[in-house]
Parts: sequence; structure tokens; C-alpha cells
Amino acid sequence: MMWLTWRQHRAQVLSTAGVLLVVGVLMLVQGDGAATLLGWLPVLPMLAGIFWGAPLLARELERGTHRLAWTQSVTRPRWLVAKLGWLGLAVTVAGLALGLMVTAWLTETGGDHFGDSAMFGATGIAAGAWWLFAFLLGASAGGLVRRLLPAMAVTIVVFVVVLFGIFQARDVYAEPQRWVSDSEWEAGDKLVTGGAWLTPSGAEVDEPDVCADADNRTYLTCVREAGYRSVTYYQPATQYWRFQWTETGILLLGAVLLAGPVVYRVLRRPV
Amino acid sequence: MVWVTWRQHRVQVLAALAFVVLVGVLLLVHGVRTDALVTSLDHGRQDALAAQFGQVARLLIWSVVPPMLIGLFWGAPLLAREYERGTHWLAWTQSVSRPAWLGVKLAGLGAVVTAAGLVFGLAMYVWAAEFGSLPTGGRLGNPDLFLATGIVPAAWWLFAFMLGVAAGAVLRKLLSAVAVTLAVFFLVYVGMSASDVRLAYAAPMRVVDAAPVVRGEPSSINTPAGAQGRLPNGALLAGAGWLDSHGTPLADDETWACGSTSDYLPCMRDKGYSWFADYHPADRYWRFQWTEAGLLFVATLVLGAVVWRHIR
Repeated sequence: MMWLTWRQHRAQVLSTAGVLLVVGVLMLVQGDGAATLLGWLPVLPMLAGIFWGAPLLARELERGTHRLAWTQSVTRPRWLVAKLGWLGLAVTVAGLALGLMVTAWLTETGGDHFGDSAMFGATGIAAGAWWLFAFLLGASAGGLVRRLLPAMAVTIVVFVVVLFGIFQARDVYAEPQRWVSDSEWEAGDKLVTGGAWLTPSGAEVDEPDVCADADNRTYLTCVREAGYRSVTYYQPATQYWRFQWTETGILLLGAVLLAGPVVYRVLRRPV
Repeated sequence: MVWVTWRQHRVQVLAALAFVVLVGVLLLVHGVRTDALVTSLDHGRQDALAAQFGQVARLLIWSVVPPMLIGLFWGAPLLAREYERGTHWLAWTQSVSRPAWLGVKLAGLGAVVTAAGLVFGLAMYVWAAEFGSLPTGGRLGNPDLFLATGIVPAAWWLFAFMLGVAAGAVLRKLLSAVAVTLAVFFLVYVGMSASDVRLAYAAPMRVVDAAPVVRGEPSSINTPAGAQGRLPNGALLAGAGWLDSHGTPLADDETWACGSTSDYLPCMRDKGYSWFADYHPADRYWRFQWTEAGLLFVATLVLGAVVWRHIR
């Protein structure tokens, strides 16, 4: 089965290795200049969903080759477990390897791996979780839709929706810290999640109700002079690993919930 | 043939039409609301306008996605799916000749793609007019707006479609065609924006100022935003810096010889340096639009020739 999996999916394995190599070389050669391109990192796992996950079942079902594959000496559960297992492992390793590369690049260039939402999901263990999630999402779409192109389309749409959802959800993984502008602001990597203003009497409001006529340049001075202090809500850098585990947990739970019904259906359905 | 084309590709056609209609309606609502909001304000109109602009502008980086999806889901399957399933044997042995089959498919779908792109670009063009007074609101000066307005979206969409068809014709396998379309399109699209190709569509104009005045931090004149602030409204910045008395641009260490102090500008003036910027004025918008559309159209024709050769 390992040989079969390799033969059927070697193009994906080799292309992914190629992509990782290109990204690595780019980071080495370009240094800081790679930042614009690396802003696209959050969508990279989607490729694992489109090219690894979606064809896994959809291509067999669409071409009818599942009739051949599932009537050999290898039982259907073993076929499925071997494919999902080996490919899932490979995809996770690819994601983790990319995560290590990005972490090294961030250390070298002095970028944020916590405050920058694009980089948070591309580093640490969340990187592996994102790739595995995308792969199982694609596989589930293929098993349910049973046709390659629609499965790819579904994978893209669901992945983008989940990506935006997780970006929003990160702010509430933990209760944020509160910083008021008259105390010391400790420098360093942090995730800023929101802000507000404190009135002179100490109440918290979204917008000061003074200085409506001030323009961009004089506004801050004017508000400060009226006795307002600004409040910033943030997550300190020490929360990084807690957040990584939270995100990994959410993604893995989502992946299992997606893949479960598909596995059940593939195993139960008559050939 | 028209009926076959419609039957085989109706999902893609309907999805694209739904997308364009949705974008058009959203932009219309957003534009009307912005107009109402701004006219109702006595103060801070520019701030309100900038906030409204930001709501949509931060999404503009995603303008790479619609053409990419067109390449993936319209272009790549057109031939690759037929080859992969062997249905081309059936399709090409009917009363319709192979050139006619290909011609109707390419022309019909290409026309729909182009029309959808034009509607999208036109809607964005009209919407962007509301924000022309903002520093980042220029349709030429803001690269994201340049790619999302006018005829350029249509040119990119058509190019992506033909790229997908060509990949399918050459590779004959759906997955490979999809992967190659994705990679090539992304590299061309992002590469065009990352490199300075667009700045060379015309010779830039140069403004020289011996005694520039800057609002805020004086040395901020050396940042792109600082330089942009001194250009005519909506202009596209092609480069800026300082010239010595002979008119040669200064090297980096000479530029910062005065340090970033508050008397940076008088200090530079005393040394006899004058500030300059190369730029393209906003009225070159259509010239640049046609240049880019023309380049892409030639590339589309080349890809079409590749398809043609593989079909015959």
C-alpha cells in the first residue's frame, strides 16, 4: 500500500517538496524583500487541500477506478487508512518543515511570529495543523461531492471561510491584557486585539466625544489635552505556545469532524 | 455548438455572473452610502472618506483570485477534461469540425469572461471615482486600484482563461493543468506588481524642487508616502531622491548626510542639493490601462496559437 500511495501521489509529494525548496531559496536570497510574497503564506495550505486531498477520493470515484482499487486483496478500511495516514503524515511534515523555515526567517529578519496574523499560522505546530486540516478538508469534499472539479471548488471556498473565521477567532483564545497609556509600554512581539479610550472620569468609551473639529494631525494632542487616556488590549508574547496549541486543537477537531463522516460513508457504501 | 458549450460550462458561467452581479450591487450600495455619509458631515470629511475607502481597499489584494479561479475552473478543464476522459474522441468525430468546436468554445467562453471582467472593472471604476481626492485613491497612483478598475481586469481574466486552456492542451491532464495554471498565473500576476515593469509603460515626468516643504517629520520626504504627498493628486510615483548641483542623483549615504534631524531640509538646501521625483501624472491612466491590456492580449494570442497547434 505504501508503494501504491507513493506511485499515485508522487507528483504531489515532489511538487510540494519543490514549492518548499523555492520558498526556502527565496527567503535566503531575498531576506527582508520576501515579506510581500510571504504574506500569502496563510493560503499555501489550501494547495494541500486542492492537490492532495480533493483528488484522493474524487478521482477514483469519478473514473470508477475505486471498483478496481477496493476489490483487491487490500480491504477498503486498510486502503483508506494507508492513504489518509501516509499522505496526512507527509502533509503534516511538509507544514512543520515550512514552519521551521519561516521561524528561522523571522528570527533573522526580526519579524513578529505572534503579532503578525499571517505568520502566526505559518509557524510552530499550527503550521502542520493547517496543512493537515486542508488535506482532510479536500479529501472530505472529494468523498462527498465525488467529482474532482466541484470538490476543488468546495475546498477553496470552505478553506477561505475557515481562514477568515480563525483570523477573527484568535483574539478571543484568551482574555486579553489591558494597557493604559499613562503606564510603561513594554516593547516586543504582541498581538493587539483592540483599543478604547478612558474618559477623565475613568469610564471606557469607543470614541472620545471631544475634538470633533480637529484634523488628523492635531487630533491626538487635542484628545490628550482633554484628559483622555487610550486603552490597548493585547496578548503578550508569552501566550504564543498556548495560542499555538489552541489553534492546533481547533483545526484538528475540525479535521476529524470533517473526515469522520467521509470515512464512514466510503466504508459503508456499496462499491 | 453554442448549446453544447453552455451545457458543459453553465456552472462556471453562472458562478461568474453571480459573482459580478454581487460585486456590482455591493459596490453600488457602498458608494451611495459613502456619498450620503460624506455630504452629511460638516467636519472630518476626508477622515470619513478614508475610513470608507479602507473597508474595500484592504480587500483589493485579493483581486488576484477571480482570474485565478477562471483559469482553474474555466480554462484548465476545457481540454484537459476531454483528453483525460477520452471524450475528445466523441466530441471531435461529430458533424462539427475540430476548428469549429474549438472556435466556438474559445470565442464563446472568452467573450463571457471578457464581458464579466469589463462589468467588474467598470463597477470598480465608477466606485473609485468617489475616493479620487484621497492620497491613496488615485486609480493610477494606487497599484491595487489600477489592477481592479477599467479594462485591465478583463484583460487579466481573459489571459488567465487562455493560460488554463493552453496548460490543458499541452499537459492533457486535469490536475497537472490546474497546478501549472495556478503557479504560472500567480507568478506572472504578483511578479508584474513586484517588479517595476508597469513604471516603464511611458517615460516618467520629473519634478525638481530646490526648497521642498514637508508637513510633519522633515526626513519623511525620503519615504514613498512622503514623496507621494508632494506629487500632483493621483500620480504614480516612479522614484524619488536628491540631486547634487550637477544633476546627478545622490547615493544613500549622501542622502542621509544631514541625519534625520528637524533641520534636515535646510541642511540639504545649504549643501546645494535639490529634491526630485519621477512620476506618471494621473491623466496617463487610460494610456497605461491600454498598454497593459495590449501586452496581455498579445500574450493571450500567443497562448491561443499554442492551443491551436496542439489541437490540429
